[in-house]
Amino acid sequence: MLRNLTMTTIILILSLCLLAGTAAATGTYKIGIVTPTLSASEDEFRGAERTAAKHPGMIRHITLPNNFSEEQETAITQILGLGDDPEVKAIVICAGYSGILPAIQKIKEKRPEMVVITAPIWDDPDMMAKYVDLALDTDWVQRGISIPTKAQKMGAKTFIHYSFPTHMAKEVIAKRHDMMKATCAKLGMQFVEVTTPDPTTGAGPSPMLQFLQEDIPRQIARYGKDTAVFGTNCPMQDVIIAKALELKFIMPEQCCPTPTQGYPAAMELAIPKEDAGNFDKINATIKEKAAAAGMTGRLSTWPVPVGYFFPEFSTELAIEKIEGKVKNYDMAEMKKTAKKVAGVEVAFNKMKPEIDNYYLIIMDSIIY
Amino acid sequence: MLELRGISKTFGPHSALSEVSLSIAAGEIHGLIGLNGSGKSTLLHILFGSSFIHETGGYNGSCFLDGKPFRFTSPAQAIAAGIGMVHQEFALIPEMTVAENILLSREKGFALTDTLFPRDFSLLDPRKNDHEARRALEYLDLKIDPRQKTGNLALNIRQFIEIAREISRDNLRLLLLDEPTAVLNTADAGNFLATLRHLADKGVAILFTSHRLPEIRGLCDRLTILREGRTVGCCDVRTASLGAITHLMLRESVTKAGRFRSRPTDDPILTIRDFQVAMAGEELLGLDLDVQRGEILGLISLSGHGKLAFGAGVIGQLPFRGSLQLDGATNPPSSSAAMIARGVFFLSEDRNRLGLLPRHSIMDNIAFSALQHDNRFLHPSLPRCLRLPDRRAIRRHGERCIREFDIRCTGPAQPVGELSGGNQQKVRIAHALTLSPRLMVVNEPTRGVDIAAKERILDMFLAINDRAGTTIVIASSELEELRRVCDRIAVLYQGRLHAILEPTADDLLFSRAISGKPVLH
Amino acid sequence: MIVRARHVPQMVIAIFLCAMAGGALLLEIPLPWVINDALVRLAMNGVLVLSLVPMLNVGIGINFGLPVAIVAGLLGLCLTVNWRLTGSLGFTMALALSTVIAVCLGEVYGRLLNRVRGREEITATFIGFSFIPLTNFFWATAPFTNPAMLWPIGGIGMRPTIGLKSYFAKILNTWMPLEIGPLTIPCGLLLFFGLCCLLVHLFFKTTPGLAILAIGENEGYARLCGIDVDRMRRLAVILSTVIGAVGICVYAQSYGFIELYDAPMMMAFPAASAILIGGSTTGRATVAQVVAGTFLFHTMYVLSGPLANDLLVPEMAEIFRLMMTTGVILFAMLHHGGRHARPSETL
Repeated sequence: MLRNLTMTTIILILSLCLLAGTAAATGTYKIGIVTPTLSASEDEFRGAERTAAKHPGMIRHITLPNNFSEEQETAITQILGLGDDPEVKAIVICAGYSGILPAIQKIKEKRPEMVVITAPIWDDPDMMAKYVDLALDTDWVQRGISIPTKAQKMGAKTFIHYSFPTHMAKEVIAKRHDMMKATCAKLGMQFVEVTTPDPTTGAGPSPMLQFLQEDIPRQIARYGKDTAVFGTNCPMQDVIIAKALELKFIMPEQCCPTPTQGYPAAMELAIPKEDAGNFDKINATIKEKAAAAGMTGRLSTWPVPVGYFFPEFSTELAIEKIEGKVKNYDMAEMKKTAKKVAGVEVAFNKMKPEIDNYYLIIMDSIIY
Repeated sequence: MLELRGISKTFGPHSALSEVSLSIAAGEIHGLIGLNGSGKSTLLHILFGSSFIHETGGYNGSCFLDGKPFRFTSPAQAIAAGIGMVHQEFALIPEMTVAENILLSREKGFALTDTLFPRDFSLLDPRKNDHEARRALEYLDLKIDPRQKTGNLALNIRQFIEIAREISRDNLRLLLLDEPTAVLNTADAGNFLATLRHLADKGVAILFTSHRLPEIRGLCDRLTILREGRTVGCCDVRTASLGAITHLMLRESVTKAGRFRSRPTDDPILTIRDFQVAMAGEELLGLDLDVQRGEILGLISLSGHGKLAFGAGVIGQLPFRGSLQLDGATNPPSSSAAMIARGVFFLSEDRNRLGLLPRHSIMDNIAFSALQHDNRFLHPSLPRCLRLPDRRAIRRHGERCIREFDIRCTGPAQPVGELSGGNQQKVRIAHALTLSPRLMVVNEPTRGVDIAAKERILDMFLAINDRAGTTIVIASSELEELRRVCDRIAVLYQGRLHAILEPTADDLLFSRAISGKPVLH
Repeated sequence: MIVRARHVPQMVIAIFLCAMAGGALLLEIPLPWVINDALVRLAMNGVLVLSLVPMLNVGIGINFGLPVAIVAGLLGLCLTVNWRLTGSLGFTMALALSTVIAVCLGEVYGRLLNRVRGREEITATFIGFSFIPLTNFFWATAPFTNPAMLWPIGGIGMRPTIGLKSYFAKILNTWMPLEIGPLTIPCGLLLFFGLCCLLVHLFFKTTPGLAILAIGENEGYARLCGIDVDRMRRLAVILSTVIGAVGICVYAQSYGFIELYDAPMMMAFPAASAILIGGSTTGRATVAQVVAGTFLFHTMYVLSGPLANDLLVPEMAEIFRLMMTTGVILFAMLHHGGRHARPSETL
């Protein structure tokens, strides 16, 4: 009895392995996408969903635990589980956490042929470059040059930077601020720095938002309509865009560039359920509303949120590599693919000159 | 030993004391008398260094202890100098036990930890502390468990504990007593006064305020009389007559209230059987009593024998067991609201905690319950559902009460917290009467009230009983006042009815009944 | 001396405000703007501060559970927007719906608070905090249908901020504006706030209002006088909740957005600061204190921001303002403690 059972099991397992082998050989394979949960980050989750819809049956989408820092072990086991599936030939991780690299190391030790693309994870760049096929991230600091440059193109003569002490203490934001200041000086724009009440102290963000509501009209009265306003904090964007519609100043980019931040609330975008997540439709609606408010050419952002763009883009890159279209990723190839996915030009910069598989991106903007 | 020269004190625009001088020798018991608001308490608080004296701008004049000048800004300094004070308002911590309260900040530690650590960190020895507290209580002839929490005890017991705390101090040289006997009944007071005499014989100087002239005369060596913040007399007790002292105090003579007796009927408004109320220190263990319609019934007992629990049980402040029949209805819902709706009102003895709304004006206090329950004083020209009161009617009513009951105040809009104890009591009674209750239960109506106010209050009871036929039950420790106003006096002993006596019965009979000895009718 | 000490915090802040106003004049910050902003802020925050009054007066203390009231108001607002009701009809509807929801929530909240005698403030704080995740779940899953309120990518669940411009944003702010030279006084908004104040003031003249005051002052005595203390406390909580719900409606229309999710979490604290700065103590708060406190507290914000930015000391200003407000609150509480410690009969 027992022997029979063991035999059947062994046969079953053997046949399964055979099946998997033939499947791999005939070119049907799977790609694993790892994202945070919907409640932790909507963009990445929906991006993965969209990719799955684009390639039916090809995507295995798993989500990391909500409290990542406390359940890191669970997360690593989940990713290793993906690596154990012989059908999975590539893994795309869009998580924005640090501490995932050990999982990648283990997978690569076991299956060196596995394609691993991170977009992004935040571990040590040099180590990542060693194990990962391709690492992608947004070029936060470089935006210190791109945003004022864009603002000037849109007609700005003055550039106002709204922030507060605890934010300015963050390295990336402070660096970007310094670059903005330098760029403005180079371009001959006046750079104005305004400190708002701090939303991290006691009373929360409402004093900051009330201050913005009162201060923006004052600043516009002082510097005129050809002023670009940039705020470093997400809740600010609703007020800035609403005030832009009212006072006709320039809003070159939000802190997190996407049509879905600030615009929906300020413009009361009504997006029908069937169009939800359709960025062409959303951008068209914003354009329409901007024109109605006489704001054509004075509002801008990236056409697709990076979080939404990365899963699909990375998956396309992974497919190219698995199907042998590319051996090593180079900038020109990636640019083409990125344009296909995002619909606009995407600029790539090397993270460090000596590393050739870690790139930072800046998307071309859409100006409504 | 103690000498005060030219003490003056003002509270804002009001002058509380002006140019008061006083001297006390060691071992002397010095009486300080005067009406409510004459500045007695203020003087004691100045001596004790109470913080509010300092906060309200200090005082003028100088004090000397053994010839050395002093000016205390906190009670701690006074205590260190050997001065103790028993407060009119209790300064006991309700969540602590009797022993802890008595020995507060003087606790005894284990000898070992005492030597190892600084005193503040020593481990306390509960047995030593209990023993110490028990000794202090025995000194006062008080038999209670020192491990009980003070918050649950009856008022007079709490007063004793307060006293025990002061007299148990080793370095005590001057004891300040602010109306210590006000909440004690005659027997307790006598006991207490003997203790004081004993203390004085040991060389402790005592400054003593009281409303009870006979008590002062019996106890004190010398007297200082205050009127409106000034010394109006200082005399040796043996040479001064009672009349002369009263005259100095009042500058007007007092007409005593007296009862023109009504005939007892047999129509009980309230009948209680096997009535039990678990009031800590004042338990009723099964009272059977009929209260006749239209009478004034006195309740008397030694403290701890349950007279105060009667009102609390009837009104539903405390739950009761047994049966209660009010106007024919048996065991009606026992809540204050239901009882007030049935025309019963209760004035608690705890004037500080359950007395009044101190920050509200006199007129608002008087109209409060009538407005809440009877919809009286609602604005006549507005819809009644808005429930907006008619301020003018309330003021008119307040003014009438002030006139009628002789409430001493600056006007109907004065907050009652600023009034003296006696006048607050008048406001409380005016408040109760505004409801026109059919049965009123009053606990200790004249406690801590000066002679003049006391007579007005007794007069008020007589008048309302006479005019409106209100039945009144007065629970009091003052036999003399009960005899003057009551139709019958019920004597309670150990939580049960012991006897019902005519107010005309002689003193001997009363003292027998009160101490639980059989009484022949 | 005591009488004078009572208004020290208010005086300190008033002097500070005057100094700042002087500074603003020197730096040529247009004063009409400042005055205008101060008036708008007074009215938009005032109703929320006013909502603390009933619970303070019944002796429960500061309503740190204000998020409960705010959520009631937000629900009313969201329903109105969901049904696409605009203009004054929309705003009236939002007020009516909020009131109904607030009565229901307030009843439950009141019953909860009645169970935790003596620890109401800390319980209320945690009720407020724990209510937020619960409502977050609701916002993320509630079956609202107006696409202008839903997530733009997924199409399910509410957005964190919902614009009100085409519904009833600024409906009170722009109602009957009175222009005096460069100054625009938002009469409609002030009138609405005044009306709320008047209603609350009048309520404390009615018999239930007086009963609430009596409970706040001496609960044992009020009980002895036959007041149904539990019922009255519940009434006070419901009132606080209703006024708070109306308050967030006023706030939202002036701000121009409905803020969902974690936004109500911290809203109780500025309101508490304002009423304490106004000089109220536990057990007694008046409408005048609400107005004075809100005005002082928020004008400080209005003035300090631009002034500090023009003086190029933004960080200092932030620290200084925090010191002022928290210091004043501490002073108010200490002062209250001092008055409590004094014996009641001194004369």
